[in-house]
Amino acid sequence: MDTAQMLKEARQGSAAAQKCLWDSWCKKMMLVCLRYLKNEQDAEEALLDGFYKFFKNLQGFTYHGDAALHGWLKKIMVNECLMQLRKKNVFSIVTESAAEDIPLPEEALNNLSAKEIMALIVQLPVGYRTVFNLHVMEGMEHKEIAALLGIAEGTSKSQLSKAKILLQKNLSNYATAYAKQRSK
Amino acid sequence: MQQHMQNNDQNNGWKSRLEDVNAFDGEEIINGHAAWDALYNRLHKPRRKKATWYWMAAASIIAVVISVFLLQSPMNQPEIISTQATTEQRATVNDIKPAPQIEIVAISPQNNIAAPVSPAKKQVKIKVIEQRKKELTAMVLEPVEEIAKEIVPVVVPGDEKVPANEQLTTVQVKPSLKVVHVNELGTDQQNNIGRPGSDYSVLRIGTNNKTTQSAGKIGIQISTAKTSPVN
Repeated sequence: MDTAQMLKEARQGSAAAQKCLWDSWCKKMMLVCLRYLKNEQDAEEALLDGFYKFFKNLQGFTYHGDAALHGWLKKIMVNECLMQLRKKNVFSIVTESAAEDIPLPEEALNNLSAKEIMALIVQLPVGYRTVFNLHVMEGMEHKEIAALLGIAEGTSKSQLSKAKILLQKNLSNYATAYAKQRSK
Repeated sequence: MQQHMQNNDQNNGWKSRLEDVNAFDGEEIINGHAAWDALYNRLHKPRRKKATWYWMAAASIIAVVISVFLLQSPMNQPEIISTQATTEQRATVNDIKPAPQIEIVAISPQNNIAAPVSPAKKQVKIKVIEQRKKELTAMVLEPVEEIAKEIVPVVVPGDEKVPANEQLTTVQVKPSLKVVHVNELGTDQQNNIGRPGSDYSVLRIGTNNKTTQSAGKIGIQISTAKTSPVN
């Protein structure tokens, strides 16, 4: 059964079609949630909330290919994660204006496995992590991020630069630890 | 340009790896079945919850409407109930007519004085009537004509208003006269009954001795007469 057909049946309330869609997308979406929420239970809750909204609002979605579906689902999940963060009251960003344009250590990141990169991102404090995910992973502009999080644009920029600095630091620490392990 | 594209590819490389499920091989990202069960329950079984809430809301609305109705109706009913009660009690008093020498002193319509209508008093009335019944059964009754009393003005304390039903009861005895119940009267002497020269008539309700003795039933005799003072 193709995705369009599954979506059509899921819209009509078919549990089988919904299960097929769930099986196809749940792991990918769980990875998205895990990037925003450190706690696995919170991430799973956000995932379930997101899929619930997805199935309930399927009537308003027009299928234009898997990329569109992926984008829509991802957007729902990101929103759910942000809602979870707000609900838990862990989302506090201190207003800062000074921001440096710091490049990402792309080469170093490319040498790491997906698991290792995920671990590095999750180690970041919640404010840094959120802005980093929204800007670097989701490709949102600072203006959008500022509007979404209710912060100043400058704050978003400074959070991102600090996130990059911390990521570099953690990366170097990780490399050192890895080198030591290898030498042993 | 080529380097920039290479950088982009590299950039997309680690990013796409983060979103690739296969890149996390060997690690269970999520327990899909358990999570699906939870989601399925939420998707397909929330209607019951909603239905119960709707039912609860409907029930509470009905309860509110009923309570409002019940609260409003007693506000209108008390007069009716009290009227009925007085009628019933008056009726019982009338039913006890057989009690000998129960006097109902009618006052002239000019005075327009009537008995007060308090429920406590009425209970007392009934008790007094019963007590009198007992006392009077032992007494030898005088003929009604002899005992006819002079018309005496009776001022009953606290007399202000008379409910419509009492007025009706009075009319049954004698339409033109107001009736003061016996229990509101003391003895003849206390009430100064029998003042000479007054225009009041006396109604006397009593048992006929003969009827009581022969048939075993209580008879009522009502007579009105202008009489001279008792004293």
